[in-house]
Amino acid sequence: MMQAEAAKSTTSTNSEWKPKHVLRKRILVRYELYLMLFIPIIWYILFKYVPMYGITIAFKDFSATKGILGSPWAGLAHFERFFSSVYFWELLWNTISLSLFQLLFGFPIPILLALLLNEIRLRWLQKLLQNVSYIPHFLSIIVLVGMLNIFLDPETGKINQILMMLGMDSVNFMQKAEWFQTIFVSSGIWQHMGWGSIIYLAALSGIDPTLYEAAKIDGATRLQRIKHVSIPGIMPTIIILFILQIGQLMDVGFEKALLMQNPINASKSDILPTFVYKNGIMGGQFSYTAAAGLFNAVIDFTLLVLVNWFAKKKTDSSLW
Amino acid sequence: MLVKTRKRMMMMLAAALTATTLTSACSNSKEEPVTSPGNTDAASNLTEAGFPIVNEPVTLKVFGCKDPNHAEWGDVLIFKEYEKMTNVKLQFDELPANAQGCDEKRNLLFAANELPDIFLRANLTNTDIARYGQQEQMLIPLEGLIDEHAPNLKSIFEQYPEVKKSVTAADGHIYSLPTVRLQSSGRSEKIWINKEWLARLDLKAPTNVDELFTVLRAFRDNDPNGNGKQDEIPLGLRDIGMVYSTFSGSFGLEQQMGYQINIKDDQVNIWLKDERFKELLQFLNQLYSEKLLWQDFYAGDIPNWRSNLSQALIGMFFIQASDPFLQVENQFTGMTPIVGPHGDQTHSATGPIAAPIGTFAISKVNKNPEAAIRWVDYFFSEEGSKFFQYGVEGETYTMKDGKPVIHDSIKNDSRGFMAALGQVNLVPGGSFPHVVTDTFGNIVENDKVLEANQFIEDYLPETVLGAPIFDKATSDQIIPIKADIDKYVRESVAKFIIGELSFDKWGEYAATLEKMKIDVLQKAYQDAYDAKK
Repeated sequence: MMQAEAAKSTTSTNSEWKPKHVLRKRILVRYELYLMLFIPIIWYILFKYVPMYGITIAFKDFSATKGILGSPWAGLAHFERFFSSVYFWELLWNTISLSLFQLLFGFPIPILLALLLNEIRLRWLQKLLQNVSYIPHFLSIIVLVGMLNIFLDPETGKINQILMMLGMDSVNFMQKAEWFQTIFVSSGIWQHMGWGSIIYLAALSGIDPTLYEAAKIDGATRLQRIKHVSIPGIMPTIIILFILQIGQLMDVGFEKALLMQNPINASKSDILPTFVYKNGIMGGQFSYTAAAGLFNAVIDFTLLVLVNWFAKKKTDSSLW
Repeated sequence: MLVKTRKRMMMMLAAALTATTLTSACSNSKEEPVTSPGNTDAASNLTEAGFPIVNEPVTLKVFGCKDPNHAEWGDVLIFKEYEKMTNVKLQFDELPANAQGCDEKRNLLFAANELPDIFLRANLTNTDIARYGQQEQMLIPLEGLIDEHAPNLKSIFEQYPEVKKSVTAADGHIYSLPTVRLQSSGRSEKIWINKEWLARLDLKAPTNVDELFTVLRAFRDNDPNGNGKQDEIPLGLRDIGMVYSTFSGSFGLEQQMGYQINIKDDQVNIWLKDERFKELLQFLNQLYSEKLLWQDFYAGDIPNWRSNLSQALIGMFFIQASDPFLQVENQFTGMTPIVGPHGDQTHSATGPIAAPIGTFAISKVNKNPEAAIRWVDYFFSEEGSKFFQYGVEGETYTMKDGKPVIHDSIKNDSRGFMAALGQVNLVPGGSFPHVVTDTFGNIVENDKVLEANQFIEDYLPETVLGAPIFDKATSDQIIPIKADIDKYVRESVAKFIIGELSFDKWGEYAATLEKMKIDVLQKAYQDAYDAKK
């Protein structure tokens, strides 16, 4: 990419090419680069765009024998059924509230952790904390949910034993709908905050040390240095990662929600992706759930565009 | 320049990362030539009758659901033996080892039109049969083949018309074959109670609701297993589905047509919003709040339940056979259903003769449907049933007084009886197309189980109707309704029992069911009932 940039600067100064042929000539001269570019483009078309025709089953009555193209059209019937379903609002709200909750708490904590780690002057302690905090990232979801079940057990779980020692009643956390989101989000933060802070730490290490020195000379305290040097320094990274998070807003951890689900907490834990899985893959209602899945994707996409537009307007950073 | 490039690079990278993948089922929509069953080559390869079934070896691709207790199907003794007898070779492709994985794989096979030759123990549901049989014709009708090539099945159908009715879809065709349980014991969950605990506490098996509470409370408080710990589970229902079947008979509720249905004077009634059901839930709620009912029953953690059971920590429970607690089975005895508050005393935890019905089906890509139907027909004979359940004489069982007796090496295997049996056959987990008769019995039903069965035998409903297979129009209409209702009821029932939802909200619950069109569902069952009457 850097080469391409450099190439552009040299070719644009070359005045003997007629403007009309500039592009073709440029391509011919650096054809190797374009050939290399070709590979990912093909990959995108083949594996990301071509399969999208399968979305059409959301508008059809999918029949396996007739195939995706041959199935009869159903118009918006599946969407109508989905939107008028008794569970629509509950599903939508569960999904959105869980994502927002996750974003609200899950997003700032890695930044705080990175700022904190960055301020630790003892190198070994900094490295130790960093390692300790990111190891949980490598636990598989199934192990994590198993740990939750063990630690939160009403009889034998450590958390409840502590509660009971303090004279409180034990709470069957995993079976309470009102606890579901809290457990889901906080365990997610515990698991991923270390990992999430890596990018911020890298960005922090990229800040010019002379800025800190200058601030110090001007008499800035530690907090002031964080406020006026560190945070502005990593702001572009924060915004990009924020936009990325928004793009996945509705894409909350499907496996985890499914694993944590039981009939008692379903009124909170049933989210769009688990609904699609249970009714589509397990229940064989492919068209109907394709409609639900497409609806999910449309919300994601709209949010992404909106947030990006907002970021572009308010700051200099945006995806496009 | 460099800074700008770096920034742009980062943006590109970020943009690439955002590319969200839209999931969509991909399918091979290749036009499959419709193979007419009865290809001349295949027909001439077929032998007259008996074994082998074909002269030249034939290979059938099989899809099925493996039970955790099964060995790899290719290594299962009866499959290896049967292949030698029949010349029909089975080819097993990746069989998922858990129920959820299996449902997923099966649906994807249908959706992608990548069909095996036969579905064997693939847990096909009535919806699957309606959808992929009646509607899509991916499964072929079997009645013609049965008439010509399956004498054993044919005679069962003639002798027991209800079996044929159970498997016949709304369009009059038969797309799948059932497990046929002619022995009454094989169809019912027995009621078990710990007689050692009763003896130690000087109590008798309960006969009504009050006595039940007395006994269970004693189980809870008086340390009947004498280990000084309060680790007893007075009443152990293993999952939420049992709410509908176990005590419901004592409240006058039955399980007809594979659903929460009572039939009276030809009137189908889904009792999910009836006062009687409310009473049943209140009864269970009281059991739960007094910690008499297993506190985790709704989580569906069967391994946990089994582990408690095998340690004899459960005082009272419902199960068909004693195989999960074989080592401690002598601590238990059967009991009769309790008399309910309105004097009802039926045992509803029972099923129809033909169930489950989706244990075997032939797909349209099968080139040898005749061989396939003859392959399965053997298991519907007395001999075949014995072979399927007990394996090879001399190797896995010996005949004693005309009854097969499984070898002790299998029964007392260190891995457990079921795991050892899973090396021999597919009995663990059931759902194999075969018949169970009184002659050779059911291998998992030992004398203890038959004894427990005597306690309930007199309290079974006169007939138990199987679940209907609806026609396309009805299916389209009721599948979404039923899905919504089932989800709502399952969640509400759990909440009512646990006390998360107060019974003041019963009216709301019933109103929601009305709103979900439970009357349309009831009408569909009524029509299906009338059609088969």
